[in-house]
Amino acid sequence: MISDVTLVAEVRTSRGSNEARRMRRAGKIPVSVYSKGTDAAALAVNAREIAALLRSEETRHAIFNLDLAGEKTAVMVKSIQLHPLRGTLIHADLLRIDLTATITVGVPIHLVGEPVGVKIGGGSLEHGVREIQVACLPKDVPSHFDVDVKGLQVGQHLSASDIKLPEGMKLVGDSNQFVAVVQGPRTATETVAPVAEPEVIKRGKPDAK
Amino acid sequence: MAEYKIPQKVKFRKQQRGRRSGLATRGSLIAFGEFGLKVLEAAWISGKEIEAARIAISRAVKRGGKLWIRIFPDKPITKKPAETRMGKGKGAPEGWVAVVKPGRILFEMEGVNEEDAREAMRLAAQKLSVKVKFVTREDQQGGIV
Repeated sequence: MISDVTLVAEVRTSRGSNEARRMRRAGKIPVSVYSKGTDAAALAVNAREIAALLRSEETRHAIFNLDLAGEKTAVMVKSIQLHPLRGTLIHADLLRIDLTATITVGVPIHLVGEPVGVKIGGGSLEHGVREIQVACLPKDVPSHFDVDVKGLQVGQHLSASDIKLPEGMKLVGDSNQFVAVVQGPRTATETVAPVAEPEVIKRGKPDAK
Repeated sequence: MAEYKIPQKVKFRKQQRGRRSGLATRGSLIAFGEFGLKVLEAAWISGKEIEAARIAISRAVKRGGKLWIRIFPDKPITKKPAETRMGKGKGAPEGWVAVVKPGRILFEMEGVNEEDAREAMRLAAQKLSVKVKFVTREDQQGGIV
């Protein structure tokens, strides 16, 4: 998906964790922009703007424009770093995108509906992989895949290969990786706490004197 | 109260206390489930607390749902007997704890709705000696400034 959002970026002249902290306090987020065959650039963007982009699921995986001194580049968010405690955004990696070349991206999977095995069989629905890697042109990257799980009975599962991909899109990676499974109801014995075993002390070899 | 799991093998029976400064650099994101319980302070969480919290969650969600426990009590704790003079060596091993730093995810859940997960985690939090907060997978998408 290509978004019409444009983030204004500025070049970071100074580096280091102290400078990054001051930048965050001033409402900016340090970002790295790179692509294959080109030099990486250390930039900063407005924190609120990039957070708004990431907050919406529609635009989270979208390709958007990065405006650096009037020069616009198509980029997408490659990875993010969060503060371990506060969960705030502290850094983002942006990947420059060539709009004419095929790219490999991860697309999130949404499980739609309540499986028969959950509704009638009393099982529980479990996610497998939460996103699959697909190769396609940047303009064809979907925001997510809707996967219908209504028909799943207890013990049945859906694999990545069961997802119907649009024409021109190719699955990358293991097609057997499971996407969703309906596990049977837990039995009472499974909830019993494991018995504490005595520790086995591994002793070193006695000194050969 | 029963202990949670303990290590099968250890190299040494007793350990020094160590430091627990800083934040969790690993295990601070929800990796398996949809909802999680994040610890907000550095602490030693005993195997007994983990087990009590696990049972609280299991009872709260009854059947259905899946639980992941992201910490393991691998640090032996020793204690001297009561009314013992100082010295004469380190005390005897008494239990096991997991060393956690702020930001660490303790439990993860899936297969239940958010309301049930919140309630289960609230009950689990009452069994723990640390401040915790409920987090969801959606919270870690970078949308918080």
